[in-house]
Amino acid sequence: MVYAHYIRQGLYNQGLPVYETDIPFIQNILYTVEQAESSLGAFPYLNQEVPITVVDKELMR
Amino acid sequence: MTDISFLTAAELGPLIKSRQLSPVELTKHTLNLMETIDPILHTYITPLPELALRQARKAEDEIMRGEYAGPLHGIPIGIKDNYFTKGIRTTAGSKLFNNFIPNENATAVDKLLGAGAIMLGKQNLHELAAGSTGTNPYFGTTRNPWKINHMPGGSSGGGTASLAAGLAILATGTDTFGSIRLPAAMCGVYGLKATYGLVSTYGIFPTAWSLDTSGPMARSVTDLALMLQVMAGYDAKDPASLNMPIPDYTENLNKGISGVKIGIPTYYLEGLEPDVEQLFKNAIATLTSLGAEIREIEIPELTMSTFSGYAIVGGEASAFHEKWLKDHAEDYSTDIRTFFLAGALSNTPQYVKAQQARRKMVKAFDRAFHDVDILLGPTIPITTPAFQENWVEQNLDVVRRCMPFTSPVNLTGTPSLAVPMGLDENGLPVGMQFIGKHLSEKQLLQVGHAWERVDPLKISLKRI
Repeated sequence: MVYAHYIRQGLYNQGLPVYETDIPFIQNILYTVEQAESSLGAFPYLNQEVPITVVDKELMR
Repeated sequence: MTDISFLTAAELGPLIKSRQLSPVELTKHTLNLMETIDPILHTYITPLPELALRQARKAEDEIMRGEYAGPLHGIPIGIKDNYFTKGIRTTAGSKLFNNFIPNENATAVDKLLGAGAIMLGKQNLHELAAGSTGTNPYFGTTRNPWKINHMPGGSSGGGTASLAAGLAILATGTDTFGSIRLPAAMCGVYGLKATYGLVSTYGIFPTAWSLDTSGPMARSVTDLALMLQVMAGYDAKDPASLNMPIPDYTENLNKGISGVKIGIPTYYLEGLEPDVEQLFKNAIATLTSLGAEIREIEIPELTMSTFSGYAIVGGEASAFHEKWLKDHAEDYSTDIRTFFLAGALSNTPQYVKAQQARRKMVKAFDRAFHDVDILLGPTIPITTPAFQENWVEQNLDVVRRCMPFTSPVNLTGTPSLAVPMGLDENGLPVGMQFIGKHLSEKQLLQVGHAWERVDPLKISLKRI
């Protein structure tokens, strides 16, 4: 579980608001992401993939 | 006189074209239903009765002069309130934009109005198109017409609920991680998440740029085809827009499903609620009896969908909203604020890894489409929940449960057609989705039309 103080500090450092009542919900979401991220472990060669990014082909031709 | 409330655009069009039905009469009829029912359902944020009647009179004059413009001419339509409408308030379902009046239309709105559609109003949505229940504390929570203590789904729940209740003939939606398909499933209507870039998103509030799509929602597959015909096409104002010829989406609708190879990723069979599982088994049997060749396939890469979906939606949405989050955090509902703030706490490597995983999933889908024509799975793994008191937690839970099922096609940019699959034991609709390769909308609509003919809900919407 992501620590509440990490969330407070992370938001504070970015100048984002910290509502104490938000913290459990943010913890819940970050926990879901953390759990889901473990799925990447089944694909050890992920770095062979170039990340998809938004590229404006008209602009960058 | 036929009850026109639940006719489809494909059924109404010939009546309008042959002057048996006046667009003014049809629009008045729909507006009257809205006035009676919408105070309960909250499917519209901004109804536009005067504008709709003006547009209907204009359409009627044109048709009387012999200037029939096509199948959407004189058809009343609801526009999701994250599509910009010139001179008309566009809130995105958010208190932040309560007074925002755009000075131009979204490209998709221009196209639909240019085809003669009548804009009934701006439709309700889960705030900022970033939630899945249809709860909206600022503009009223949309209710599911099948059972009003149940959610309509989101984010395009205003549109799908209006279709199920007869408060629009057609509706527009947007889909970033399921916002067309999820509410279509919960309300028992049809929705198409189009190939990324096929329909312009210019003039639509972004949720997550690299995943956002816009598309049609309707009470029939034919109506989706008619709408897509108008909405699709190159738009120089949208950098993601595809520049390619647009096929005739209605051409193959009656060609059936015989010999079509359908793959069911085993990924989509995990974690299903019993009613969803049973209805899906029944659907497979029915599709087989219609001549489809169905088999299970493995796409293990799909297990990365949930992580990628959260990391990309959270990262992009929090970037877009950073300024407002800093200055007007209190103007967000708790569910959306916490979703975006969690996104802000995700790190850059996570975002990049998600985009790497995304490329791997695109390749995995390509591999699957060498073996099968179409993929099939339940739209979502759950039946439609009743509203709970803790709506913040409920939205986060519905997103968590449904993201694995809805996000793969957003991540891979592929099209997905959401169709009703049947009713659960509480009498609420359950849906499934046909997924195709890039730009295979024509084939998806063909398959969906064959499925629609089995009448999956076995009940007329006007009975609900």
